[in-house]
Amino acid sequence: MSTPLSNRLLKPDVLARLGSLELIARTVVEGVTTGLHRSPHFGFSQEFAEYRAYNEGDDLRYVDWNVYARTDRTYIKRFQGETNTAITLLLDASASMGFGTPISKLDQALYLCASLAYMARKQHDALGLGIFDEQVRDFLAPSARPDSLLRAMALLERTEAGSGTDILNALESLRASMTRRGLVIVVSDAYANADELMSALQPLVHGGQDVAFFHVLDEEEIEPSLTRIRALKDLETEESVIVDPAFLQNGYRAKFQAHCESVKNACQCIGADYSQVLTSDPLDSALQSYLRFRERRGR
Amino acid sequence: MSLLFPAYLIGLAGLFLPWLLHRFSDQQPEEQLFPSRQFLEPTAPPVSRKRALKHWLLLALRVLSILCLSFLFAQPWLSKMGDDTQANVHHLISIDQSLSMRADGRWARAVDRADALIEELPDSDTIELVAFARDVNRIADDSESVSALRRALKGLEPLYTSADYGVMMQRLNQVAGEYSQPVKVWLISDQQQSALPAQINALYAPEVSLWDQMSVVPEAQVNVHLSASAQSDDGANLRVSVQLRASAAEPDSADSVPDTAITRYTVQVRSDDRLLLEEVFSLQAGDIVSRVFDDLVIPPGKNPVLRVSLLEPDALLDDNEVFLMIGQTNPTPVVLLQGERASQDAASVFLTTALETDSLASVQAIAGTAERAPPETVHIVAAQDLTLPSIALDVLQFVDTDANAMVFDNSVSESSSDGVIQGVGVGLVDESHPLGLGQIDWFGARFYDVGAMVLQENDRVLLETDDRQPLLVERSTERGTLLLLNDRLDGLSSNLPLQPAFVSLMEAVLAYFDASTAIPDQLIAGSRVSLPANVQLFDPDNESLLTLADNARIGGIALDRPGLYKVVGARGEHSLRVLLDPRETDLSLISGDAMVAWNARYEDAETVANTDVTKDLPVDPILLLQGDDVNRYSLWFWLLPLMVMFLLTESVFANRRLDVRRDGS
Repeated sequence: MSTPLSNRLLKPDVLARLGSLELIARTVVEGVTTGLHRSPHFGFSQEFAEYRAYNEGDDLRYVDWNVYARTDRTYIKRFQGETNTAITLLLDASASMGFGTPISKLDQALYLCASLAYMARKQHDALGLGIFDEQVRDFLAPSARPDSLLRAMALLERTEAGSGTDILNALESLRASMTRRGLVIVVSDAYANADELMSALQPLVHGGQDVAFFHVLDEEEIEPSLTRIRALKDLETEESVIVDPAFLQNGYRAKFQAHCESVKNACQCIGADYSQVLTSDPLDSALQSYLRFRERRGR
Repeated sequence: MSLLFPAYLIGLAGLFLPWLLHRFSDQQPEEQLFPSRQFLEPTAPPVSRKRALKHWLLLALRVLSILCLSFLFAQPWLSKMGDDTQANVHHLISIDQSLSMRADGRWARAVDRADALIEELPDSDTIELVAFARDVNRIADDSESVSALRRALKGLEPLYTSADYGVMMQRLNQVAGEYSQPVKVWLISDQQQSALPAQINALYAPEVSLWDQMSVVPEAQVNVHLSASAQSDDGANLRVSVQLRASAAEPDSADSVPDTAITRYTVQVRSDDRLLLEEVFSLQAGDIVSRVFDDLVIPPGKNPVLRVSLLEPDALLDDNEVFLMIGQTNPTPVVLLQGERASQDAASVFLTTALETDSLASVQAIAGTAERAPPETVHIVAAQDLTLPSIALDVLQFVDTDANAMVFDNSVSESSSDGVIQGVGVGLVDESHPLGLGQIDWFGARFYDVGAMVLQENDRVLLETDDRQPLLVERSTERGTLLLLNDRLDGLSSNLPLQPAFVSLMEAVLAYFDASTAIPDQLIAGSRVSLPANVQLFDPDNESLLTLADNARIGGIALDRPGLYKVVGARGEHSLRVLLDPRETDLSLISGDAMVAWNARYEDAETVANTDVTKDLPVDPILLLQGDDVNRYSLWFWLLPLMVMFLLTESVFANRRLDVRRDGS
């Protein structure tokens, strides 16, 4: 009897190492249920945030009368509320994600998404999932219901590499569905122009979303090891290009490194987190390094 | 231009296999999946590349292929260096034995030349004597002794048949193909124009390495061919047609000028010793003169033979006399066997009237059975009850003597006349039969009372009524022809005897009967004639030609001598004239252009041979150029497949190992 994919994706050793870490959003988002994430909305929390000068129209209930008595000035007292957040996983399932050894980039991305989903549910965060290639194939809106993890797992389980990539179109379509501020995690191999990618992610950031970009790559596409002349067939367009190994040794590697740098810079420009995940890397270490990084950003 | 060894082209085609493999098997490099071509740039594939010498196996295969190719091309010289002593030649002395060699002095000169040739040829070579006319006969060789060869030569004499140089050369080519050593043909002939084949290519014998021909016509010769025929329309007066055709042999080497003088020739027509006609003809070489003499009277006697002769001697005497039989246009005799029934009287009238239309046949009515028919009778018409399962024995015995019989029905009608007023017409007609029944208009023929004829297993139904009743049937017999007409011919059971179709039918039957038993009146010497069984054939000297065993079977016999033959059988005697082929008596020689075209190929080879060191021996010059046939073929048989194998392996290996596209693009 084979092991269910959900268990296979959520590897126990990975989860054991992640058990002491908390996924903390960089910004506090609004939520329905109380959790570990700080809400971006100040309100009925017990934790004091700041004072602000009273403006006409402010609710008089939040006026700190003690300060008024000492300073004869009217200040509004503001609090930080603690609540859960919405985590939306956006998985690129284009044909190019089917490439890679020892496991394909898509497999690695599925492991990553499943781990993140499990962690999110463990923190009682609302979990959403979108699968896209040229367009959005499946989308589960962020939900804190107990079965949201199961639904996400089921969707991931039947995900296979599709056709071409159009990350711009996909994010454009998803942006309308993600009205609730939270954490958006994009897992893709980013075969798109860096500027266009930035213009696609920027509206999410401007909408208050905290964006993390996982750039999933394979060693063979970073540094191809071909020694003979070959006709390389594009997985997405199925067009063949006859390529000399000499070009792959020099010109291609430089171009690809430049592309990776431009994607990273684009993410940094818009305040998104960028992490590169190789198919040969241990997944737990990748998650740990990312979560530590998020933790630092959260302080 | 022609290829000396066309079979090598197959080997040459084999050299293209590696190129084809390169062209089609490795046009595109191997395909490999890649996530995206976004950062890839199409690369022009290098045609060559500097690389360290690491494919040693590939190098070895290529070197071996080149070595094989070099040895293949160098092989003729290698063979010559290794084996100069194997140039023994087989000589084929081919003597023309046709009729024209009977012309004045030709045959004697041919024998002398052959004899001298046998004397001159070196002892190390082998000699074979062949004679040709219509076909090539291998006479003898010197395997026993040269004297035996000379005896065989002395025993030869010219025939009366014609020659064909094309047939001769093709046959000599087959003979030469039996020898591994080079073969030289010495052709001793009169180089007659009429013996040339229609296409000059038929004169080429690729297996013959060397060639020489000798003419036996040193001086100009003139021959007049006499042909004649005699015909009588009424059995009393005689019409004789005589034709003379003069031809001349004028060799280029002769000192005499072409003979254009008009010569007078006297033609006599005799019957026994009685002179019927003497006429003088004036003609020169190339003329054809014909005259018809129709004021002669048939000499007395049964079947007189006329002898037409040319008095002045010419180069070829054998065609100066011909014997003629007087051809008469007599109607074909047919015997009608009359029965006792009165109903057959009407049938006899209808049959006689139809058969004697246009004097095609003369009907003789005889009462009784076929046994009472005159001995010369070939065709009979008899009445028989066809509802019985078998035909009367006397008719079958008559047919079994290579005769013909038509049997019609005389059974008693048992049907009433009710319901048969309309009758039935003719349905199926076997148009493929030589009778040609499809050409007869059967439209008006109606049959009211057709008897229930009993068919046998091998009967061929030639004519049927609309209701599938057989009307005309050919019954299979071992000899002769037997036709069964299922009609009473009384004008009551059918209206067939009253129809024009009946006359046409009788004419067709008569023509079919004549064709089935005909022996030709004349033949060309050397032709075969098919004779019926139980006949004897006498030659012009009145000697029987067929043995007892030959008599009992049907077959053909070739008649090589000209003259008047006689075919004697149970029905009398038939004369058969065997004539000389008029083309063969035309002594005109082959034109200079044709001779040049014939000898050109061998003359080229001869030129090369004469420039070589071995001038005293008739060594094959093609052999000197190309090496011995046996060695050449043996080396090719080994080296060519080896080289192809090397190239194929090299091709596959190179395509697998090298990063170089080899499609030539």
